[in-house]
Amino acid sequence: MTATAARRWGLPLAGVTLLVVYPLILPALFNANQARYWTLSIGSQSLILGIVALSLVFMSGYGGMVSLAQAALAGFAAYAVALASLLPSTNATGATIGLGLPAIPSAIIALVLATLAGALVGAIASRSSGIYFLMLTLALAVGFFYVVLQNYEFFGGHIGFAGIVGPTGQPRQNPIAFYYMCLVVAIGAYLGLRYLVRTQLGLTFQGIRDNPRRMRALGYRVTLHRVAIFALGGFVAGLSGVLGVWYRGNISPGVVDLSRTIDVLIIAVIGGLGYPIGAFVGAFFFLIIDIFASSVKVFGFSFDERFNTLIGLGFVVVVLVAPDGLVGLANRLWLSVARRLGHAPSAPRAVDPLAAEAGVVPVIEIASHDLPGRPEGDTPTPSP
Amino acid sequence: MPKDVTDFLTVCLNGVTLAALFFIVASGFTLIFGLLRTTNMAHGSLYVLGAYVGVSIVSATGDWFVGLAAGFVVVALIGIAIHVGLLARMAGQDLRQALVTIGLAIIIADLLLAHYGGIAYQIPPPDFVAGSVQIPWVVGGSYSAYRLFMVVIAVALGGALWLILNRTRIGMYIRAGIDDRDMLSALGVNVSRVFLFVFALGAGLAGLSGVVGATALSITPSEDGFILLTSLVVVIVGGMGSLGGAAIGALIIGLSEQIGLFYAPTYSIFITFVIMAGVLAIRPQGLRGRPA
Repeated sequence: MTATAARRWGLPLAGVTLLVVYPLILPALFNANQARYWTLSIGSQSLILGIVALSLVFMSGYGGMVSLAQAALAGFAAYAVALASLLPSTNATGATIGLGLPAIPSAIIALVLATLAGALVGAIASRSSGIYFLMLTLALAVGFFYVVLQNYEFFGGHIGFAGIVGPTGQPRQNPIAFYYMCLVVAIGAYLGLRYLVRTQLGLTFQGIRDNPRRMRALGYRVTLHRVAIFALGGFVAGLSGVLGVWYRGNISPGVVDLSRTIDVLIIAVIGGLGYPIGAFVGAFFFLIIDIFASSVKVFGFSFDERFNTLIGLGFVVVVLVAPDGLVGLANRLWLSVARRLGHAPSAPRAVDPLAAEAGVVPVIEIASHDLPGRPEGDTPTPSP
Repeated sequence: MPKDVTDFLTVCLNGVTLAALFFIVASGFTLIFGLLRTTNMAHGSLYVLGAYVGVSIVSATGDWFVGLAAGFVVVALIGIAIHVGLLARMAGQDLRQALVTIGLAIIIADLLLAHYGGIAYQIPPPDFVAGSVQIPWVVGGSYSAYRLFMVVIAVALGGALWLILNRTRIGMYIRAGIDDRDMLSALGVNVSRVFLFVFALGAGLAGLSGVVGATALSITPSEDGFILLTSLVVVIVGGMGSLGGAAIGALIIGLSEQIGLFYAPTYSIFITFVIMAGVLAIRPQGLRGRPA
């Protein structure tokens, strides 16, 4: 392995190794209850939230569309899993619902439906652009919340459905198996999207992101590609929704309400809207803040019950001062350290994905041209 | 008159009076978006804020109109603070502005919950519209005078905004700015001051609509999502930045919601979204909007 390859693959390999051994080292650090908590409530949930945030990062980064419908699409998949896997029964409105299918076929049905729902949202939304897009997808997402809240016939109204069990059984009884299932899906989704954007199709997506008119003039079907991005985003969000409903064991409108929609956006922005891996970093930090907000005190003011104020303030600060999120911040810090040590050719550029026009957020490739020691760097290396 | 007919007429009247509220809410949102291109995701929170200011002031003074004015002024001042402190510093970065206002919405909702708690408040209407009006063709033969008064407020407000936009110098600047901001600036108009005026006006309208809405319905801190959704749908259907579009959108959404609630209770929101999707399929820029 050459030095460049070590730099290219060292960090990802270390990250994956850490994620794989994570649940195994927990029992050495905590008692059984705490270990289960860190495996499920933080580990698995970070991955589940990270996957849905990943779908947002993918769509904004490679499609130029910041979609706020992702949480609703995940919730749609969760409802589909519930309706497919619950045993048939007649509810108070007289409608018979539930197909009584096993977990995996239910999940497949849910993913197909989430992909189709994503395509439908795309078909409605893709004719608008930029900031309209944000509003339109938000309206659709909140609309879905009110539909499931109002509708007792098929969605169980405000109660929703309970008793949904995944292929690994109750997460609480077998937390490590559930964690690994989430991890496999998360890594699969991440690598799948990373691969996809390097294909012809992915390059077409990026071309449409950068200049839809030119791509249209070149003969590409812009609207169709946007719908395809939405369908893919719906599929990835659906993965998160399926894992999420297996994690909770139930589904109710609270899972698709406005605050969940906003949470996904916050996670993506905290992690760094330009970085796919930021989705998972953001989800982890979001959960850590969520859990430990009660013990935070600023100037004697306790955030015990004011978690939302803390997360709102944190979000505004990130948007104002660290627009490329925690991953961008870490990236810049690392580069300036490397420069001090004499390894990096140029000063790190601050990348501001939010400053882009009309809501287009291009993805920043960490590994491609900013890393130290890249041989064909276009900036001259200062001689010592 | 047969019951079917009175039912339908009553539902339509409910729709129109609800549309009046929707128009007042959405007018501020559409004005801000039309000129500043700022998507104020905190619009629902400003509505809730105005409603609570109204609750406090009306219970302290006993005068509904003082509460209405206070709702407008306080929220307009907060709007000025938001614009000067945050949004004006990121002019042209529409995504960042939307994100910052989302953060503000979270903070405002949480602080209001901390201060007022989760219970629902309602503002008592002014005395002269506290009772009901005899209308022979509605169910029960009488109808809430306050709900009819909302239509009066909406029409008066719409007229006032029309006069401001079409008969005053600042209105001329606003209309010119919606068409071409750069040209207006090049002509020597202090565009940033016009922006500030419009943002304060739009925020104030959100606060005022909060007082109006909290009298007709009731107010809880979680109302912000519904109001934001309503504003979005109304201006998406009507067309961004168009006051007339907001009026048409409000009427369509108000009527469809009430008719849906009566005839297909569990699908009323769904109907609203079918209408929105239908309008977008035919006119992506909304009924009265210009192509982007």
